Amino acid sequence: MHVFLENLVAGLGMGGVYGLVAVGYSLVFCTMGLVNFTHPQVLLTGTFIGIVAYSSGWLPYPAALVVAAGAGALVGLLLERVFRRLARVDLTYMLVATIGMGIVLENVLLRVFGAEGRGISYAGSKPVAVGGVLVVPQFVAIIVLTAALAGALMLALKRTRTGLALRVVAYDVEMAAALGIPVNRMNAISLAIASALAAADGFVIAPLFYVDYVFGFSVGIKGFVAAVIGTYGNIPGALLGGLILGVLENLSTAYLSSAYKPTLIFLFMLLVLLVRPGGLFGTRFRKI
Amino acid sequence: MQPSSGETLSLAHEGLVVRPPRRWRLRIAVAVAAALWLFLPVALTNTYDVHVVNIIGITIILVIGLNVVWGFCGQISLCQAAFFGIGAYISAICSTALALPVPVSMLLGVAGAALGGAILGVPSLRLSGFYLAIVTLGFGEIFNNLVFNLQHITNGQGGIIGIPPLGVGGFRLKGEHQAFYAVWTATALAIAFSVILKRTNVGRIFQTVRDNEALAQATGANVFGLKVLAFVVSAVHGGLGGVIYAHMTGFISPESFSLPRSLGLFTMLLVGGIGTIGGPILGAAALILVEEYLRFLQDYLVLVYGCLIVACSVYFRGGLVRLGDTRVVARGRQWFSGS
Repeated sequence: MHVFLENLVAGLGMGGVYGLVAVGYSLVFCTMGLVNFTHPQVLLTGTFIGIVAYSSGWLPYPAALVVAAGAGALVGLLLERVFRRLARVDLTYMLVATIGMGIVLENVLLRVFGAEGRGISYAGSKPVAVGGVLVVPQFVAIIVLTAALAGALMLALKRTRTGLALRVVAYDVEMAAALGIPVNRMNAISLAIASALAAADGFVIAPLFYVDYVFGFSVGIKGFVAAVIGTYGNIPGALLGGLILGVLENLSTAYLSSAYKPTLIFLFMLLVLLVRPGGLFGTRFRKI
Repeated sequence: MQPSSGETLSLAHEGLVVRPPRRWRLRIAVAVAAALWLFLPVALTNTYDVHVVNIIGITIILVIGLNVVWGFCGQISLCQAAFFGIGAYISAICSTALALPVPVSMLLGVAGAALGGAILGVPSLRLSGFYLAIVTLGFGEIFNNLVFNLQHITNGQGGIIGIPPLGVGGFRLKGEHQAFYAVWTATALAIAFSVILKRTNVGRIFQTVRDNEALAQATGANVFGLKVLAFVVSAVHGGLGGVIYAHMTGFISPESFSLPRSLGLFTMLLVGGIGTIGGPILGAAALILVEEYLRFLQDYLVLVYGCLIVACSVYFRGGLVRLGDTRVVARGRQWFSGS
């Protein structure tokens, strides 16, 4: 039972991370119609910048988190300029262009930060015993942070004028343009939000992992799978997909083997898609 | 918004373009190719240059296979490197651990890849477009994960060494210079296959499935069967490239068959020109030559490569085969002809 609870907490923590990364994929797809394969590298960029800010010793952890998210948002704004011509075009070109942009970004990182990975030590990553169950405080913090960020995002989308405009763009881009909503600016905002979420995500799990170039890809691809499971373009679905994936991943590692994790994850995704070709939440939730 | 499938491949005009008879152009091209096939290995004294030429030949086979399923039939496939790997690994294991003759191992390798293609084609019954693309991505990742972890069969990250060279019995094609003839014979066959496929009924229905699936269905075509067939044909190309690669180099390791390789292959297809005959050939040759002979750029090579990919997909869509149609080239032509 202890093993189960420990892995449940860790799974929910990782699931929250995957969920927010997945929300980024889905949000950009809703508004721009863009399948953004640059997302893993954006996550890595923000994480690296956050780590540099934190290990310089000048900033406390929460401030470094804000720096990471801000850097992510800036990268998102830049990406919107490049991808503007790609919005809602053929999937083939989107895939290639965003993958190519990912390669560019990764190599810029290689030039700036070097080929070595980085790790940070932070008090929150040491396990604490709670009634005999070993809990990593950082995972609890991540669960709280995920809930807060996701709640804030949903609320902003529902209650602010910008959120309303974003939803109009997602619903019908021509109608949005006809109403005088600056579509390009809305796209930029959604890409900036998505990128900031990814960067913050990367930075909150940085104390638990060794951050190298594989890290960005592995978190990014799992976030992507989470978005697909939860219906690509559906924001609550993406979050739930992430939680399902995180719990599943940790429980399978605990009870089966960690070597075949990618196989299990993709087989699960295949199973979900074969049963429900549009993802789990194809009809149950509204998109934004 | 539900993800839309790749139905707007913007290739609909392909095949409707009226051109003068191309018989002579084709004959000249075949003659030049035959002359190159005979004399290129003699002319290139440096073994490494021949190696690059051979890798180009194998890569052309892979990209042509990808072009059949993606360019002709419109089904996005992100795991061509996995078929490449299935062929290479089956053939390598059969000819080393099981000590089967090389031709038998090669046949088994291609057959294994074809089976993989058929399995991958099955989800296309329920999925299409974007979601099918993701399934193919997952297929490739699963293959790579298994190759890494089934160490008693594949030797994991260490790869397989000592794979016997191409040949039958006592007759062996040793070294890059001799392998050249086998590689480029296979490449020529693959190109010829594509040329013929594009002119047959099956090829035309492939293109109908790509441009308008409902129309293909309305004409009574077995759309699901055709999609599976397209995946199998693509996988056979991948497997063929794989078995030749394994026996030519004598060594394989999992990195050669991972996701980046799949992405590289479809980048070549796109840079060359998707859905055309010349596209895969030009794309594969151009990108490999850039990679091999711009090594003086060293650390910045991959960066340049990435920028090239972005530029080709955002600003310059038709690919190298449509280079003549771009505005810059048209202006240049006008300027030269003085009109």
